[in-house]
Amino acid sequence: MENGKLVKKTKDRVFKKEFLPHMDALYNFAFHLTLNEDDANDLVQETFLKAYRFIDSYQQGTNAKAWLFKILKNGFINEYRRKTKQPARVEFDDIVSFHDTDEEGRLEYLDLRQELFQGMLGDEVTRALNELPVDFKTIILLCDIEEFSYEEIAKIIDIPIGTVRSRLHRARNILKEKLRDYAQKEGFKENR
Amino acid sequence: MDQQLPKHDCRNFVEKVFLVLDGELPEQERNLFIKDIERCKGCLEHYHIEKTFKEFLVAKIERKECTEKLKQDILMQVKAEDKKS
Repeated sequence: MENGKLVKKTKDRVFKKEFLPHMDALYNFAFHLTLNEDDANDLVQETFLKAYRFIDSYQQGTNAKAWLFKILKNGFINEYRRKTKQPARVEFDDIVSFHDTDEEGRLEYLDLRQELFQGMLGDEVTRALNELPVDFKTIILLCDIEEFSYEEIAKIIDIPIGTVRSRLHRARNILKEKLRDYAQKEGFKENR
Repeated sequence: MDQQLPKHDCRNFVEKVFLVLDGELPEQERNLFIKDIERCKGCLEHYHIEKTFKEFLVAKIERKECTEKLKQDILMQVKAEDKKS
């Protein structure tokens, strides 16, 4: 450290060793958020540039991946949600109505037997995920795909852990419903 | 072993199933949860459904990788940023 700032050599080492290994994961997250390669490229570039600019506020050897995901998520909110192609958000009414139905059926569960989905392709599942409101999609990506802990997710998206749990539960149920409807419509009970 | 477990309550299952599947509980608590639900056919079946669904998502959701060009662009931008400062 020199005058409270990382010297260039240290900066470059942290950037290469701690930040760059997460490039693919960040790109994947960015792509699912923006649904567009160009926008995903821009978002990832902005994320790494911001990370480099503010590298002094990153504590070496801590959770670089979560730190980068938070920068990317904030960048997405600030830049992309303002554009006209604003992705669907989780509205309060959606949450309330979904919460209500969820409460009623707490001890029941969706008919989600494995064989129903055996023939389903990755494209179809990815499409169903991408159609979810962005807050639901985000939480599934962070938990199931990136395997962040609830605590990390809470920090990345600035919500309490209790909200992480409930939002994740609702997001999964909505996705299950979508996939079940799709599978039944397309007759996936028989293997393709 | 069952005698050491409290009476099975399906509400406990609902409360903890995702914590278990998402790796949020310590191993000992997770093991107790599994032993507990093994006494209830409905909970056990539901557990396997949720577990299968999570594995299904992990296996099926497409993962995009960034291109070599993007990697190079980022490195160049960082270099340029360095020169500015």
